[in-house]
Amino acid sequence: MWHDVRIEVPDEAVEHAVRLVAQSATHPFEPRATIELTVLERDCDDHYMLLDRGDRVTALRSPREVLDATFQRVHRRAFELASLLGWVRFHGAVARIGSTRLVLAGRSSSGKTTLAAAILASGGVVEADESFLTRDGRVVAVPRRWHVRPPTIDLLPRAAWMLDAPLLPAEPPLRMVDPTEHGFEWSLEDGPVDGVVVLMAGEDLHAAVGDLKGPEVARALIDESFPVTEPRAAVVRHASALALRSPGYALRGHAPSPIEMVPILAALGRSH
Amino acid sequence: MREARATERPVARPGLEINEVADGLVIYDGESERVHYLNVTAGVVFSLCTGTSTAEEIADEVGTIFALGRPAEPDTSECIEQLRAEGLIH
Repeated sequence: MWHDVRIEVPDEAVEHAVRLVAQSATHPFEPRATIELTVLERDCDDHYMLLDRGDRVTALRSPREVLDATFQRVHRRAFELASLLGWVRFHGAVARIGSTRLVLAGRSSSGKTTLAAAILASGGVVEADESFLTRDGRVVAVPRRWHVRPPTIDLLPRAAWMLDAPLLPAEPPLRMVDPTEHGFEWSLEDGPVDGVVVLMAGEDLHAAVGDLKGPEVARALIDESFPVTEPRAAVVRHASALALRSPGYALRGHAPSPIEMVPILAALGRSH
Repeated sequence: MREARATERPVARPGLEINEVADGLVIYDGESERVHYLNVTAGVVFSLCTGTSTAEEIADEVGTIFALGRPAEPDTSECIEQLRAEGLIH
């Protein structure tokens, strides 16, 4: 977001691996810093060497290890700078349905990506499926390729195009989805949201959205915040600022199809 | 748990970071590193714990704010005791 990232790779295998985390989201920020990583070709021990601005960082045994190491390095630097700029990161998807911009907060596997995919399939715009930064009530999505697990595609036949996305060998395997590679818009905004929707656990096959009080919105965000370097007080302060400026909602249960959830969410922006 | 005595003048502990949210307060206690989530009523009671009003006067004020037509007892005393037990006032 605030970094220009350049990675020099030694061969096609590493290039293929690193491309799994490259993404094409557009955003309103100008780069403030550059991350320059170089991967040297295999040495006599059959290891790649990762360099950061010429400094040796670590030896790596495979393109997959190169992928993990570069991803961690770039993310660490990105979030350190975001923190210095006063932003705090929380779990949550960010999506726009018509003129309604929402944060969909919830713990891992709470259905954020599935709901995001349903919004995209219904003509909305998804800014992120996993996390966002907030500062003084403003929200900026963290651009990361979506990590799509098989159940999302099973639940959402309209998202079958995701099967064309590159596969990251993992357990379970993940499709690394960049919506722009499939003809969708992927643009990020820096601004307020019309609501924070907390995805509550539940197996009920009847979806319902109700109001959620500010303290509970803040609790949901804080409970699912990332381990951060900034003081915990800052995490509490920025979660509270978002809960002060944005109406809160609780989404309980599931509709038989995620697509059916989209009109319910679209109506939230009109209700306030 | 002891009941808040009507003559005490509860006051918020210094050093708390108090954040306003819709329908309540979120308070961070840096000493214990705990986060406290207060609903509207508890937030109002906490806000009235300035060291200038007795528990009885706070109950009167809460009754006025929520248009109860009577002092908000015993709820206010219980709330003050809970805030004290959580270390937010003394």
